[in-house]
Amino acid sequence: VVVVGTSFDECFREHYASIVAYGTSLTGDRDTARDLAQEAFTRLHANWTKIARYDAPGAWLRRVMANLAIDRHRSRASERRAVDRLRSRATPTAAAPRDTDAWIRLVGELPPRQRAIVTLHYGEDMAVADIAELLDINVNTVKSALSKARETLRNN
Amino acid sequence: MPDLTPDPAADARLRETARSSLAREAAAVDTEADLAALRERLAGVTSPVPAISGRPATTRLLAAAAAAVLIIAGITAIAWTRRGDDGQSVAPPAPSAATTVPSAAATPATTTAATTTTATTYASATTPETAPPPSDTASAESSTVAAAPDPDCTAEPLAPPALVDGSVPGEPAIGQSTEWAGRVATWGPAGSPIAVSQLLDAEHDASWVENGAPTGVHERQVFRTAANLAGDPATQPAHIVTFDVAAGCVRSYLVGPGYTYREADLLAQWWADALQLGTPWPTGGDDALGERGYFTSAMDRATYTTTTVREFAADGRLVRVVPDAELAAFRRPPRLPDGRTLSWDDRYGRCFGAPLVVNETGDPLHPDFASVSSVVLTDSGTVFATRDVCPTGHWGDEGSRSELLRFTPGVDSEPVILDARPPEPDTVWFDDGTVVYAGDHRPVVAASPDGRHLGLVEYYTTENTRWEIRRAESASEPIALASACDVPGDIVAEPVFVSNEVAAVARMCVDPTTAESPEGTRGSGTVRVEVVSLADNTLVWSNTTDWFTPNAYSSTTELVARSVDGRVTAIIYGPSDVEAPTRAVAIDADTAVEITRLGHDSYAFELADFIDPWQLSPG
Repeated sequence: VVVVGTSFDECFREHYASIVAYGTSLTGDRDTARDLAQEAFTRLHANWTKIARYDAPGAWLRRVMANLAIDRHRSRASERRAVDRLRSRATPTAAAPRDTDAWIRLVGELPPRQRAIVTLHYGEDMAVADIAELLDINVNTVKSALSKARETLRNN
Repeated sequence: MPDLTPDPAADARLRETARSSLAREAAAVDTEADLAALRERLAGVTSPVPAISGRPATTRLLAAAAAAVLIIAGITAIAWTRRGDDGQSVAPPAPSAATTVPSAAATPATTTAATTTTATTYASATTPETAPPPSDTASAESSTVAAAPDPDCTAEPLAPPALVDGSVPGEPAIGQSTEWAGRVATWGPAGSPIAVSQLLDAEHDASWVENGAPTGVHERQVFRTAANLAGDPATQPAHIVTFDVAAGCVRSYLVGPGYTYREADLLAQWWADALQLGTPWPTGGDDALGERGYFTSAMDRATYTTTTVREFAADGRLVRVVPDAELAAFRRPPRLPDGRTLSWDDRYGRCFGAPLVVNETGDPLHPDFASVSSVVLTDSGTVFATRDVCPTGHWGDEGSRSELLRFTPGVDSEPVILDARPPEPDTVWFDDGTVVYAGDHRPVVAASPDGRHLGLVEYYTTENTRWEIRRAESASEPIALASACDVPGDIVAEPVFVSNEVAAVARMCVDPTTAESPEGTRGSGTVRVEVVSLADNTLVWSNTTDWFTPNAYSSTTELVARSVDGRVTAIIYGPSDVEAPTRAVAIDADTAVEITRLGHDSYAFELADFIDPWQLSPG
């Protein structure tokens, strides 16, 4: 018997918009963020009986989103290389920012993992330790990424 | 050096900018519409998806499908069912069926010679005008348009994107399985670890994805993992399932046994990439490698001996498997210009060296080389060696010291002492009164062709190693090499002298935060390949990747480099931890591309680089 305090749809309505916004910060593109968010919620649905018991399914979703965005970034890099090898004049495969949002422009200069960290820290006001736990990385890695990101952001 | 000074005002601005952006983006979301879209997607994806087409061509490649493909990798007990087995057959089609027609461009144009076919097909499928849309949206859309199931979808073999080493599959051999009542198509040499087999006439139980034990799921570029490893390396084959959503067909492939969970997972990810891109992946490092290729060696993981050496072209194409006889030609002892050959038996422990012996006479090359702890012979015939001088036979006692010697037979009458170091008591790890292990040892491991520069290694803890470069004429101190790092850390691989004046090193760029952390006094960070002019200690180039990491345990990696017409290229490789597959990156001043070949442990530009001449038997 699974005791579920909230329905999947309720969870979706509670978290989806913020997850898309978070994804937009990670990827620089709203449509891509929606795709990734749909994927994240698909996974949430597949694991709903388990994750519904979590205190913070939103944290689980943010972790999934970060991993999806990083994987997507890697695969796009390989995609670009493949296109280059074929001497193709392909249309850009990486999603370009669709607007002039200052934050999106700023974090667009950062590697994916740093984007996730600075977005969680500045955008969602999360503490370093909480980010480390959410992303399952060392606290020092978070500090390091924030340090690098601050430097990059300040230079921009 | 980054400015780490806290700047509350700047942080406040960043916080405000970020919050505003996220709030604006969240407000732009139509949650109800997207929930409806997700519901539609869930209806299509979570239901077992049927097959819709026979697609008979035997050489047709999986990459042909202009469809999203779900790949599940597992190393586990394999559950499949013979077609027609009521107990585990694929469920009926989704009701909203509308036939999906793969794009013409994505359909292979020819079924002739495998190599040509593959190249042509992949090139076509990746042409921008005809390539399938890269967005994940295609996956969701495709999953909702499946039509009637095709019970024959696994009756014909469908080649994987590539064999495990990235080579072209070619034509399959069809045989009857000895383990189940169905046929098996095998690409590559039967029994070879690179071969791939497809289970024909089998309908994969879609519920296996949900309820079985896959190690990982890659939906195009994304995946979730649920590890189930039968041995490490696995005693069962790696099981890779391709789920062609648009065609509605689930196919099962077997690789190995012998691959680890993470290797299988990486292979599945590559296949997912390859299927999307319509090209084998990773295909090579032509951008970074220039025109010349490289060699890889596979290792027997039980005996730690090299088993197979393969040569790859710069574009990643498998050129050949190098015959053992060709490799054996390099298994010869180091030779002096006068024709004499040398041997030396590497030993470990302070005051316990081994003689550097002239094989033809059986005598030490020089009395001072009766007990040396490391040795390097340059092409021009200069010997560099280290030895411990231990009057009492015990390291640390009065008079004991370590010496770095240089000797050119026929030129020097006596070895020249380039450096002498007294014991450093604080570095002793083990001392039972006789045997001493200590971190103040600096074995010589490399030398520039002209002998003016040396590479030495320091085992500064029982687990940690770093390297340094010294000038032979001022060998008491290492050179502080130029670096692009804000905080240059250790050199984490043996340096490579690509010429008399140019060296390539793998440099850890230390993150200052980790440098200050109590658990990492030497710090962690990213590894850069840096090429340095030794003439004036200036940086020629420095480059890195955003994903390559040194071994998590030793913080070291492996580096090979070469200079062709003055252009230096390198390969940096190694497992990121003890369980991870070895991954390799070809890198030059401007480019860094992955050239990993699964199951291969070493990479080299020259066959001789696979041979340690000092590990050979005399004669």
